[in-house]
Amino acid sequence: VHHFDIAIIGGGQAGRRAAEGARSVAPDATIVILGEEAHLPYDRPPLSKEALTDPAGFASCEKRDRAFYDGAGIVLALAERVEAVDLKSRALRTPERIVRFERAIFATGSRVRRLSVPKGAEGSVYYLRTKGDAYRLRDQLQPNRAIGLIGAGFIGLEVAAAARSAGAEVIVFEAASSVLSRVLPGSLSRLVEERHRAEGVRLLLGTHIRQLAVGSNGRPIVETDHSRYELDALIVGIGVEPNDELASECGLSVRNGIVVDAHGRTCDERVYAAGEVTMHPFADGARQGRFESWQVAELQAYCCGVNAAGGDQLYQEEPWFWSDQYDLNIQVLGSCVSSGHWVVREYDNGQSASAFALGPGNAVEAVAAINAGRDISIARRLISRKKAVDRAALSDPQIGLQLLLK
Amino acid sequence: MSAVSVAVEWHLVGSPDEIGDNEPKVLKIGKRQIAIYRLGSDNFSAVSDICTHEYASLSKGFRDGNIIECPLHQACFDLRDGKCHGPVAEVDLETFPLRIETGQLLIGIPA
Repeated sequence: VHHFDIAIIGGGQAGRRAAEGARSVAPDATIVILGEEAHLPYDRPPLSKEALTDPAGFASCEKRDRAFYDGAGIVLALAERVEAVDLKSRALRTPERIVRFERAIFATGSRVRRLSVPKGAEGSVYYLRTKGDAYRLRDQLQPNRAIGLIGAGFIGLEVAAAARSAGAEVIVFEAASSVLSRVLPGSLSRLVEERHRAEGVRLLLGTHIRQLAVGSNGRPIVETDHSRYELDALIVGIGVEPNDELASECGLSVRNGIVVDAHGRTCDERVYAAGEVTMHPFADGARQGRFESWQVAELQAYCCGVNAAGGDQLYQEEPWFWSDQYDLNIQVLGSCVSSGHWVVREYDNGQSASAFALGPGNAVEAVAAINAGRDISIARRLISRKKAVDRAALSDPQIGLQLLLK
Repeated sequence: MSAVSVAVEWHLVGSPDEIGDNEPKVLKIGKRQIAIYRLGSDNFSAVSDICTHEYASLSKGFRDGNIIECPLHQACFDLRDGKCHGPVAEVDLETFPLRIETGQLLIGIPA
């Protein structure tokens, strides 16, 4: 029987950051990361971007090498899937062994939603979540190959951009009438759409897929209400769901993710959860959500590790994420609760823009920006102040946004 | 103004008056893009203008006192010593010595 002060279940970015957080306050604690994949913990943002187009692109995924873990005394149990956790006896089981722990941190992440695919076409249908997925997908992105993408969300659009850069023919199927419609107001969605079309992407919006079929040599076929598309490869990007079953089975409170407080603690005081598997409170504590982003894996997980090791730190961030497509940098900060009124601020003849969601009393609740990252920095301060802003000043790019902070 | 520990070549920047409180001066010297900020009445700082995380011009970001935030992914750097303060970036910015000679600002670039 192996014993650790802190056992971290999940070997992704959140697992690594939880370990780093724990180590920062507990130099002598024994820490193990149990990961299902054989790889060292890695960050995912490059997987849908440079890793698909640049042979060296995978290098930026691994933030720490093996020597780091050895030096920090963080034990890596890789390719070792945790099958069960017993909270009463504080033990977990893998196919290899039983591990006892004082504190456990669930950092089990998410998995992609899958489509049911006709027999024979499975080999030509791709998802993007892991390094292995990215390796397989990269081989498909070649000149003149017909690539279909289901879903015009961030992953779908980033892959579309990478596929065009690699010279592939790209068709995107999206049921909604605009891209990224859950997070961007119409005028910003249109900027993204125009850019993809200018790059040669066929963007089929408001398009419902009737069925998937299989053609010659296992080529996937997408049938819409109006047409039929035979493709070389089909990539599905229709979102993720949390890997919260293990937590649920051992009795933790789970509601679309593992429920935690601002310390990252679950309903069991010895058990924490880190990263995007968590349903956690946002900045003001009044709202909560499960949020799939670099920020949560990086910062919430670190904070959670600190607390699991005896520290006292609160995670109180507005949700924030970014996407890079071609030379478009898209960022969204905050959560838009009142479905609000967007005030749009345009720069360079509308080539870049930011949009502010105003809530009650004209306070900024959220901001979205396309190639206007400076506005995100300023909006972060505006959101935390909750003060009324001048709508006219907000929409006038001639008036410096920082003046609203005065 | 930082101490010089390696051999540098001095390049003319221009009059210190050209550098406003809110507008850094950005210049290209060789392969480097460098931004010179005014930190006080006659206190200046020269740091690499390119974020150490991904390629972005930091001078297009938001400055809050002595901290500059990258417009691309919000990495923060201290303008006084180039130290990175997270998130995202983990490598400090290169910094460059400055001096004023006969009313002109000069920057030292490693030879």
